Amino acid sequence: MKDKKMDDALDSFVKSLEEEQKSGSLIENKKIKGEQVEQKCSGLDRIVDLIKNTLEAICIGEDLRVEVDENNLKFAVYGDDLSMAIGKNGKNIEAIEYLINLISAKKKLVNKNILIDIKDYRQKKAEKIKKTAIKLAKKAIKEGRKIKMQPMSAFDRKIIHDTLSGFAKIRTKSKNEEPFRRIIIYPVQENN
Amino acid sequence: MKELLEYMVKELVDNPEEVQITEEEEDEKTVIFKLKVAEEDLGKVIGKKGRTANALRVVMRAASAKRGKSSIVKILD
Repeated sequence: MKDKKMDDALDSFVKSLEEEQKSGSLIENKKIKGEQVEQKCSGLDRIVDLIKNTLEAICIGEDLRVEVDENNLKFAVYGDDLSMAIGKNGKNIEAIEYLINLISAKKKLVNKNILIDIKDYRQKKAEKIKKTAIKLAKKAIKEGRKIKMQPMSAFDRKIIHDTLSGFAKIRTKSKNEEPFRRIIIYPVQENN
Repeated sequence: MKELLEYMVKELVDNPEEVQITEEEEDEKTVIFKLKVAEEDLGKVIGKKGRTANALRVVMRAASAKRGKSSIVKILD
């Protein structure tokens, strides 16, 4: 009795393994041509493939190079003519990142959110936001009044909160609801 | 372009073999993609507050804009 159960369990396990291999090879076959077929099956490589396939389909197959930062799960993409993949205010890159995050969560490729950057767009944008935030914080201290910032995404707001948390003379707060949620910088009264 | 939509949707759903996409040209510049998935996968392609559906549309719009066209993605139920 017991042995039979064990056998059944083993059988189903082997079957599921085989199915997994099959579905894996299906995806390999589906790869858009011009891609080197790699035998590596780790989650990171699968994500790189996903990013490449998507961007090549959007930008009609330009020369793509993906740099992987394994510790922070950052994928930096470089290539010619990727403006369409970034989109207005980074709209397209956000959509691509969201979809790839969904897929990686479903297939359990990695267990954390991934970040995609195209031609350092994200990095440059973050630096710009930091600069503006520090400028406005100084203004708030100097003029002794609260200052409202532009509405921004949660990701961008976090950058500001993190940047300004080092300033003792101000505090930051978010107000209003998405998509109009914005940061307000308050100067801290010194008399208490 | 159809391949791109098919590729992404098939990765998202539980029943990839039931994904059907038809491509129709409405006029010279507009393409309509009609997307059909298994009933239990509808929520997966639509997402919370339609976020996944919108992301798919944004990506398809980007791909078609590169080819000088506009695209519409319809999810059939």
